Amino acid sequence: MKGFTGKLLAVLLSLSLSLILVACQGPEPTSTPTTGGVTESATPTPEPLTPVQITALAGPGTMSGVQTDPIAKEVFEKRFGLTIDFIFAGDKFEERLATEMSSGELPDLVCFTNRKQAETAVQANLLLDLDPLLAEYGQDLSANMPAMLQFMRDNLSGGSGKLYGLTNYVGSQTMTDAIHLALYTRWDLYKQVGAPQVDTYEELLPVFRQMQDLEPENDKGQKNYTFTLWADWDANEMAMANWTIVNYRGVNNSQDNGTLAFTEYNQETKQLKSMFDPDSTYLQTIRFYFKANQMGLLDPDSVTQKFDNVLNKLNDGRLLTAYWGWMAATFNGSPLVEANPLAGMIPVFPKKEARLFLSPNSPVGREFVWSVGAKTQYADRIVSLLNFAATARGAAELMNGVEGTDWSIVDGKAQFLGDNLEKFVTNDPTVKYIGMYEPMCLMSPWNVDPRTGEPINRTCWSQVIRRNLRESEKQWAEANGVLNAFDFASKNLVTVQHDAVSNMTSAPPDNIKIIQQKLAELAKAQSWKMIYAKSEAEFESLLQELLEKAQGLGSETNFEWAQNELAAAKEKAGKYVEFNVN
Amino acid sequence: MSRRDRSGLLSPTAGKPRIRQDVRLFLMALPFLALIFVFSYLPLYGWIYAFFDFRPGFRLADCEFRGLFFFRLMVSDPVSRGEVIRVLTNTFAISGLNLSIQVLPLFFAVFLVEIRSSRLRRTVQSLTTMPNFLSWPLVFAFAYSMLSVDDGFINRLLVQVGALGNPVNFLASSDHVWLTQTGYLVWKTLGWTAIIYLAAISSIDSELYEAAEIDGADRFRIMRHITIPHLLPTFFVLVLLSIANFLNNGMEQYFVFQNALNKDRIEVLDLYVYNIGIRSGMMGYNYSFATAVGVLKSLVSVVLLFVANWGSKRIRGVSIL
Repeated sequence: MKGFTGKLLAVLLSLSLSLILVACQGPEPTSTPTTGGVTESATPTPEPLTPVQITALAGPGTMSGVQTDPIAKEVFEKRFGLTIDFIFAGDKFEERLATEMSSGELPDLVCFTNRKQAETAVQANLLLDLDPLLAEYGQDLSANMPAMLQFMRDNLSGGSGKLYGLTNYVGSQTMTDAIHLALYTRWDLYKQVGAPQVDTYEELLPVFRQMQDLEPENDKGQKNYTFTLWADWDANEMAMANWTIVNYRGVNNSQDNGTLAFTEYNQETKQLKSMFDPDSTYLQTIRFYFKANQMGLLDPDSVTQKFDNVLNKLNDGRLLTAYWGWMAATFNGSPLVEANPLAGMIPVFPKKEARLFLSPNSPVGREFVWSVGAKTQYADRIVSLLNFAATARGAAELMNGVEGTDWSIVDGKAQFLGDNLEKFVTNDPTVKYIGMYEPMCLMSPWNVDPRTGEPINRTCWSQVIRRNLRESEKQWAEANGVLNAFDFASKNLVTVQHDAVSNMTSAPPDNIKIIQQKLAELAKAQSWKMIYAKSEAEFESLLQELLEKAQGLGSETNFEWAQNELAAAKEKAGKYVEFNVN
Repeated sequence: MSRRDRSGLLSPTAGKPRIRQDVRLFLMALPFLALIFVFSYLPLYGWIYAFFDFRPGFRLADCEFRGLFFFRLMVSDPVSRGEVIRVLTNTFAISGLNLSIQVLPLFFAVFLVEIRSSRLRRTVQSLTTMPNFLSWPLVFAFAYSMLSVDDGFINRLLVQVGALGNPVNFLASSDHVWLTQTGYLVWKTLGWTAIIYLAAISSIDSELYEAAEIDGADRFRIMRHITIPHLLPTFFVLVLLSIANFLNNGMEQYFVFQNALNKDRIEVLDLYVYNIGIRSGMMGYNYSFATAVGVLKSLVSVVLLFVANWGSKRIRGVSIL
């Protein structure tokens, strides 16, 4: 009997284990996604809406999980009946996207970070054609962004002429007092070394050396540095070279050059240059940071730290420069500057190299693409929300918080209500949601709001500018005989307007993509090595190695393709011009 | 040996009961065979991706068949060839080092049991076992707080006591990457692996020790002639197991420690496959290319296995296979 039970047990055990193992493989992915098929979901829902939960996957932004902030509650839930659950992707968006796509389905709402991703999803039939929904739910989209819609139908539909995606940031940038692309530095130290006027960025280095000698440590005894860099934003190349001096000099870096990877486009001369040209602005910038490192101005932890470490250093007063207007504003809002207003940061403009670089008038938006998953049940509500994001009113709320509670229009100007202004300028975590949904703005927040005559973006409101004007900037402006930083830039610098042509380039073919991928691995690693080179000779030999290897991997073929693509984009540009800010 | 002889040897009653017994043994082995099939053979199906231009979102049947294209891509130009050689060198070097440190836990265990104070012994054992339970990202966070240039505890200490004029950028250094990575691994796994040896030591007959003591052997002689010889079989089993895993040095550790400056030295095969195949996301041909590199790994493993087998035959006269 015992033997029999044992045998039975053994058989049962083995059978059940085998079954489990077979079951582990899961079912075959049977269904191929279909396009269209919106008719059943296009039935209008009567008010008030019972919220439904949708999933979203967004490349840009920091949203994660079910959102419960005031914008999510008041706008998404109450007005559009949507509770949005953002799939966490962090800095691994592409990996996450690839996983979702491999499963044969995409979430209800997706924001791609480039057109190649969107194009692949279109070819795989994973996206919904939005055209049939526009008449009922997307009237503002059609009215405000006709050029963008047409561009997407012509260029991102796999040749079908359907509408599978919407780009964000449609519209123009108006000159305002906020200067985004400039190198900022501490006014108190800069004044102490005589606030010298220089011609080039390199000439700033000895000035910074003197400043760093004046204050080698912060009040906690931690070492100060003029520059700190970080690697976690790197894409194809070193992001921190791209977004700093390359941009300050009025050049479109490889990353904001649309799909034309490893090229830079000088908006002033309209010349396209390969990033691997020994004379490229990118390589000059790498050389600049190399020299800074040689002079002891660069934080040695740059290559290993993350951006979070940098924010801590900034708030601890360990950095003598900030790279963008918002970063300087973060420091200027810190308790350190509150206590010592003259330590606030002001922009420095080397006269021969700095440009007043204005973002494009872009009727076709930028690189990000918002799309709706082919299998969603709530296409009507999602399109209504996207339609809202395509209006000035919508952009204003996504960008600045809920109108009426967070801010409102007083005497024709937008203003924060209550203590929101203070909270906003001092980076209070309770108002972190303000600005969080910026990537969702299909209507660029840099457009002028027809209701106020000022840009939609809160950083450009006269109320905020007045509040942000620190003693440091006032003194600096007085010393230069100007009203503020913007006044200085417009009087002294060459103004360069981004022409948005690179926004009209199409995704590269596969053979170019292979080359670009190989170049990316090379460019990223080699750039950092060059910055950390121990001597001039080592720098030169690393540079030669970079140029030779890049050539070996096909950088010239890539550049040839880019030149042709840019020429084609210039032809196209005349076709897509119309947009309205309403 | 014929079947009849074997059954004759094993079960004198032969015939029907013998078949029943075979079936029973087979059924008992079945779950494990199924496991091996599912986890070791079924994944080989994935190799098919190396021959197609696979893109996420498409069914494999809809992807273009490219034959050996992705294998050729690995060696198509001098830069790519250099990459493959570099990655293989890293893999062999780091695996080789990992193999050579197998002996450390053995000595650690031998010396640990010699500590007379049981409280001290337990404390040392707990402290050395603990790191095994930390995940690699935590280990990196710990290493960053200890070793970063300006805030790192060790750098500050060394500079303050005057041992260093300037702090050293340990984490971004491209020097001695293989050694430092092996060092982290030792720190993390030493105590844990020693547990096996401690168990083996406790099973050694205590009469042997008593006899040795009566014969006047000192502690080192006892270690040399009793403890270590008894641990050697365990040691060889562990070494064999790690030879089998020679190329599987995983990627978590190297993934968290990699940066632009040490990447040339730290990128082992698994990390390389991840970096080009998954991290770069959807830029073109990565999945298929990464699969092709993964296939390469299996080919290298098979070659290694045959070499090891040949070596075993030469040295011990017994083959593994």
